[in-house]
Amino acid sequence: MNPIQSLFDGDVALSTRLTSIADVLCIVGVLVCAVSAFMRKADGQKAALVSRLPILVLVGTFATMVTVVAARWKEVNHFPSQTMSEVLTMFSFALVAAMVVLHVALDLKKRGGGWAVLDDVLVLLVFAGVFATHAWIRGLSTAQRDLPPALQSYWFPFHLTALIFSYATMAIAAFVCLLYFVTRFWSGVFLGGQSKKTQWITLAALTLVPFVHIVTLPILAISGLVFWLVVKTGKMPRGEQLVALEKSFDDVSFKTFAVGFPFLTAGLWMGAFWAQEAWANYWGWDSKENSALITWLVYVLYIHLRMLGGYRGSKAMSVLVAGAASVFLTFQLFGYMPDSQKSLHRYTDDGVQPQEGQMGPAPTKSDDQARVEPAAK
Amino acid sequence: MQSEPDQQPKRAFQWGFASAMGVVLLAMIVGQFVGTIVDGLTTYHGTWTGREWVLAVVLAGFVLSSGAFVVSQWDGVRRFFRTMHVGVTLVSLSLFAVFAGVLVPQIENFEDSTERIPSISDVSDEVFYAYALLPNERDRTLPDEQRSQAAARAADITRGLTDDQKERLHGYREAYRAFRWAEGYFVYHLIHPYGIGMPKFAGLPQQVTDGLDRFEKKYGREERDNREKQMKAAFNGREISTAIGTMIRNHESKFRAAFDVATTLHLNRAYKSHWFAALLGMLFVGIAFNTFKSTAAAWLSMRKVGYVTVHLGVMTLLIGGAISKARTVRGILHMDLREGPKDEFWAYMDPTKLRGMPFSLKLERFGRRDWKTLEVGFPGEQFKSQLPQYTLWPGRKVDLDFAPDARGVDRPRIRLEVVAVHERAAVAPAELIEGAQDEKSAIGPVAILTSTPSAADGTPRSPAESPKYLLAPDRSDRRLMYDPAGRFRISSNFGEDTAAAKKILADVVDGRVGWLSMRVAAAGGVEPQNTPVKIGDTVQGPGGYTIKVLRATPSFRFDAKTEREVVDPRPITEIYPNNPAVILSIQPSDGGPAEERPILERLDYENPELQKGLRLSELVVNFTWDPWNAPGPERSVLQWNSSGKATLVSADGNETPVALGALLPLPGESKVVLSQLFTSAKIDRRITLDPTAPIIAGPHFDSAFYSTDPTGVEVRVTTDPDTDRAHSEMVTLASTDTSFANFWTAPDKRFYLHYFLNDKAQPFEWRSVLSVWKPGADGKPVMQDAGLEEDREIRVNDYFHYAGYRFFQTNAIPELPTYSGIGVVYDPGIPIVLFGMYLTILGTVLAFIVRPIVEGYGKRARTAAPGTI
Repeated sequence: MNPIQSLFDGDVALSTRLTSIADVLCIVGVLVCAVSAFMRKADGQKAALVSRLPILVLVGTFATMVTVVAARWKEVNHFPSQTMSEVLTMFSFALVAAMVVLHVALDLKKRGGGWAVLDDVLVLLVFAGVFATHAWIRGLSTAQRDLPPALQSYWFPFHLTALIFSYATMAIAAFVCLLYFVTRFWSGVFLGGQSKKTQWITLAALTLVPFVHIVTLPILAISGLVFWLVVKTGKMPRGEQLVALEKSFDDVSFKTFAVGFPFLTAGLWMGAFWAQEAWANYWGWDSKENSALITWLVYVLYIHLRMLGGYRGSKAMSVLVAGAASVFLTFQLFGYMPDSQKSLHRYTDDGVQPQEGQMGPAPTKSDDQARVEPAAK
Repeated sequence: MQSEPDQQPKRAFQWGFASAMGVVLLAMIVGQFVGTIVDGLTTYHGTWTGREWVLAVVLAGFVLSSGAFVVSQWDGVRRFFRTMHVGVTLVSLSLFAVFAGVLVPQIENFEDSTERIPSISDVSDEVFYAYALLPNERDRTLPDEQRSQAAARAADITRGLTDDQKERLHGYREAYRAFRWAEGYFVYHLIHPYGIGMPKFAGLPQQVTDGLDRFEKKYGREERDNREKQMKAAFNGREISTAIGTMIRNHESKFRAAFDVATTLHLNRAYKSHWFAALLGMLFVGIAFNTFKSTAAAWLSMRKVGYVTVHLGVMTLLIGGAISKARTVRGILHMDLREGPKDEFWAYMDPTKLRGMPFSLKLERFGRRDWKTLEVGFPGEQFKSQLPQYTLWPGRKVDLDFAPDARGVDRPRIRLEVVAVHERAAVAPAELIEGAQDEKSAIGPVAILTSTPSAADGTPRSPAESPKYLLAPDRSDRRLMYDPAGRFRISSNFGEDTAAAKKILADVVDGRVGWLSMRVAAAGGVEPQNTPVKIGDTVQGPGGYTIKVLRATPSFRFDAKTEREVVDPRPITEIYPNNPAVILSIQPSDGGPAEERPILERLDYENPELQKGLRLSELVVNFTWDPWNAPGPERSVLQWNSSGKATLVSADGNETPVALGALLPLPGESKVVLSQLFTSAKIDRRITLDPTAPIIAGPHFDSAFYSTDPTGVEVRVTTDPDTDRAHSEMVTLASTDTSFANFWTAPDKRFYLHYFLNDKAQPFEWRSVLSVWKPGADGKPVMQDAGLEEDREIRVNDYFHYAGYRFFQTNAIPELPTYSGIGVVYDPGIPIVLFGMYLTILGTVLAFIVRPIVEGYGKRARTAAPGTI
């Protein structure tokens, strides 16, 4: 069912219909951000009225997502983060919320030097990300499921909220890094000044890494078109400007990371506190726990490389992007990992089961409702 | 004096990433060896021989020499750990070590540090690969026939092996198969990103889609979409499973080699391995060296306090983790309300590893609460799929039965709204009362017969021993009474005269034993083919199968010892149909050998577990006995009219008036009395809800949780909501089938509600209350004071803590309501680890949130007041 259809369908849940409204706002937001970015003067002069619209649409989307979450909470009678569709909805909500927080905390427009434009581009990417997440959710089951006893804990909302907010913030930090890398790449393409090795490595990283390239490829392609237009205006950064931009991007990405990292740490250990209360086992080395720990360690590595190793600029930002890839793996791909087959956190509803007598004991604990006899009854 | 060129001071070795990694990896390997030696010595319970003494000396030598090295090279060691490259290497390797455990499935019970994959180096590959093809002969979920075949085949393959080898072979195989499937699943998806190259889903069969369309009309678009997604996943999943299986078979030797490598390197028990412990030990040392570099005063500066706190937190965490690794034992206590105190539990869920506790525990109370669930059915639809089940809470609304309105927009024709949910309901036996003629909630005309079989000495039995039979001519499942002694059967008819009753007798299809319901599952067959059959009939079934009815019996009996049917020698007409069955001969279309298959009415062959063991398993056949037409005793029809005049019409045409309270003139020993007659009977359900029953979801102890009283619910049922034809009715249901308190049928019979507590899924909650016992002076167990019931109550997310042990709720068994599974943990490291985690959180908040804010304020203050310090 497409979002337009669901808006007017009476037999579809209210939260699903409200999500469609959020999608419409995201489309409007993308357009508004694009227009605002093109209309802003690069020297940071006071923006025209249209340049206030991105943040207004962002706030409107935030308010809509609040109602989506509230409606879903009412529909399922518990904190709506049990099924994958609910968790992804929370993630899209967190993306918007994180962008609102960062917009205020970072106040990018005051940095000058084109950061007002980049602020609009970041908000555009967030709108695109929310829309894409909702499109993905439409392929997932929205059935209400009862909370098993272990999930009926006061830790549930805190653990999930902290982690998902941190994931959203880290995603935005990765967006910042990506914007730098595409800027440098296209500057090299259109104006030269970059070594061939650097260019090839950047191109390979942005196009060949599976699943990550779902995000990086479109950004690379669209930014290429945008920068081709920018070159014509003579505003393409190069040389010293690019070096200054690298420092600036590095600073912004670090500050974005700094907002999210305490939440990542808190969310990770809240899971341990909760597991301790439920099973007197603060760390069961479940693959979901391990994947989250890996993500945390990647960011710990980032901090150490930055603070002890003096890593800055593209080196540091590469690690941040790797951290976001780890977030994606933890969030979406961990169900395919070998040790995840018996994980308590596994969401994968792909219906793939080992055949009897062939593969050994059925390894997953996924919900029995997903194991529907296909010759349906 | 000038210094000689060859006496210039030596430049200290500069550690880089490669050299740092080399040293750390070497330390991990050494750690694995040392740990293995220590394990060997500490777990050896016999008298030490030369081997043990040599190992002990080697170990002691290693410890002493390592200590001497560290002391003598203290500056170098300190510089090593304070080098950035070493710190980053330690963090990186920790990351990769954790990742290794994600990439390699960990063995079952890896938390038990003594658990290992058994070695089968003394078993040939030929034997192993043959054995690996078999199903698990110890898997009780397999059908008996399949399990016994697997056991026979396994015995054959392992004929030349000793019992120990067989046991090791079995353990290795099960671990290998779990590894093989997990890695195969991962590799398959890795080499088919985005589903490229995976089997293409051909789409749901048309019959399924048609069924879903009908389903959508009743349960809504979203419900249909969710159901469709599940079905597609299940269909597609099967094909992908097959593809993964093929890939695994084609690369079997590679998977086995990978498994053996993972086992040798302890990758499949990574987190309990010695190399992992050595790595974390080095990490701890590295953090310690770097945390306490500057002065104590500096640690409290805004610049450093967050960083120091985080590091202290991680160090505390690692210390606690080390204690947990060394001292933890976990397991399960199987408790039962009927049993006395127990002081032993199964360590790591293994019944062969019993561990004692210094006290005993007894299960005093156990309660399980399931989700209150409502199922809504539409009798006219007969969906084969499981109906949606709605968990109930006050305020929940469910819209159903959609139809387009004047503007073409689908609107619900039924709305259910949960008004209240009660933890206690009392249900008195329902009674039938006479309703109004056109009353929609009436169930129609009803006659109640009371059978009063005589006792052995001829005296009638008491009313309590006299079963009542309800005859409802408008209900196909309640129209008939069959004498338990098998001497007569009575159908029913409501009409002003006996003409219809006579027609019922004249229309008997003599010899028809029942209906076969057949479908071929593999063809996506959803709607079954229903065919009436007699003994000797040959029918064409779906999928080209030819089915012959060889025999039929009203009472199928099976001797488990001889594994043969026990054929009743009596004529079929004299046997009461308490377990009807037909014996079929099924001939496949390809002319292959026929399968003789008994089909019992009371077994549901839709259950795939029943189908699995059959030879022609794709053909699903169910049978329904026809108690009226099948060969049997004399037939009669009880007819009555709106004036209350009843007549018994027999097969030979005789009509006998029957008054209320009078015996019916029937053959045999059973005495049947006409007790009541209704023209338009209505069920007077007596359900009393207790609004004062406490809500049992609160945090405090509540003995009401352990009550087994039925629960109740009030639902407002509105038909045609949001229209001017809207009609609402309050329906009360209770979770017991006494007097059908859990069912309600709409007056127009269009739909029904079924309320129940869903024990097929995860429960709402389990709770147990334990008591603690210790031996008294006379050796008998004496109950100890371990706190109030509230303190001794266990819930999920709230365990019971006593003498260093923690007890938590793990599971229950619905079929065994007195059983409670209690998890046991003894882990003195817990409070230290938790404290370390809190410190880490505090540290990151200080470093990344508080510090920037404080420094920001400071900067602004300095900017605002130039010249001030």
